[in-house]
Amino acid sequence: MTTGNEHPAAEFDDAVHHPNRLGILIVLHEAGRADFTFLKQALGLTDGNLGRHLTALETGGLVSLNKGYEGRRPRTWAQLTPKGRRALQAELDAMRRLLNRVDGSAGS
Amino acid sequence: MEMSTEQLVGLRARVRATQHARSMPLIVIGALLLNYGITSFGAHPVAWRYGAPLAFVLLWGLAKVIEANVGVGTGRFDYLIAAGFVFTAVNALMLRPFSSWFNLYQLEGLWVVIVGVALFALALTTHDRVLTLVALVLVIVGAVIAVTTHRYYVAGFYRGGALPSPNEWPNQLISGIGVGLAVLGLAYYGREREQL
Repeated sequence: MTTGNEHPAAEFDDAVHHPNRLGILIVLHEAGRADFTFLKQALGLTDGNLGRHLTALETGGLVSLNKGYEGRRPRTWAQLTPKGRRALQAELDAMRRLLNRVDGSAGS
Repeated sequence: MEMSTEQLVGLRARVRATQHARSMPLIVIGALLLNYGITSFGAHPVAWRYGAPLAFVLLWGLAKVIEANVGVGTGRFDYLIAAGFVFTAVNALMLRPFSSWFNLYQLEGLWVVIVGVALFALALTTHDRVLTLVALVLVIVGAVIAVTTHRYYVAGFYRGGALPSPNEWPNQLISGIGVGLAVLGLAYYGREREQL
């Protein structure tokens, strides 16, 4: 919980604020769900790197992973959970407040 | 390293380009309007009461094909809900007493309004300005047709299903808008492909 005097940067959630995780959440927010290959290409990550971030997000309850097969090909779908949607919204709000504060300081 | 705002916006744009989220609705709705304008809202090839909802079902189907092939989901587009709304509203207008209140031209206008309202709801969920603007144009054009054609008499419409001449201005206007939307959709399709 934040107070009115707290700096907006203090509201950033480490689990979400990492650039690649934020990217994953943005893509999932827009797409509803996305498969591993699309996420990898969109974010320019390696298999291992993306896998680690997805696992961290899944452990935090922000993303749900659905692993299965299509034909003989394994396919993993990632989807934003309601908790992940709220966390992303809170993160974007905090970023917006920070930018407004920076802009306000620059203008004064 | 921080992910810049531009990069986040770029990611969102890439997802939407992959979904062809703007071009597909423009092309499909444009084709629908062109088809019905040319055929004077006749029953061929598919009657309006089925064609309009089918257009939204088609959009859902295309989105699912993209999802299966490329791995990006359909997002916040509730095409099936829109199809259900359009089907219900269009058919409700065919029921009495509504059908006896309007002539065929007015019904055409109201059907276009219904499609515009469905597209408007979809556009709002995705904050797409172009689709929102197009939806508003459809609502306004449909309303203008419905309001300004109240004196037109269409002989035998209710009994024999006779249709007005395809040369009447409402159908020409609807056809023109259909062509415009389809061309705009194709232009956006090209831009979306460049973004991928």
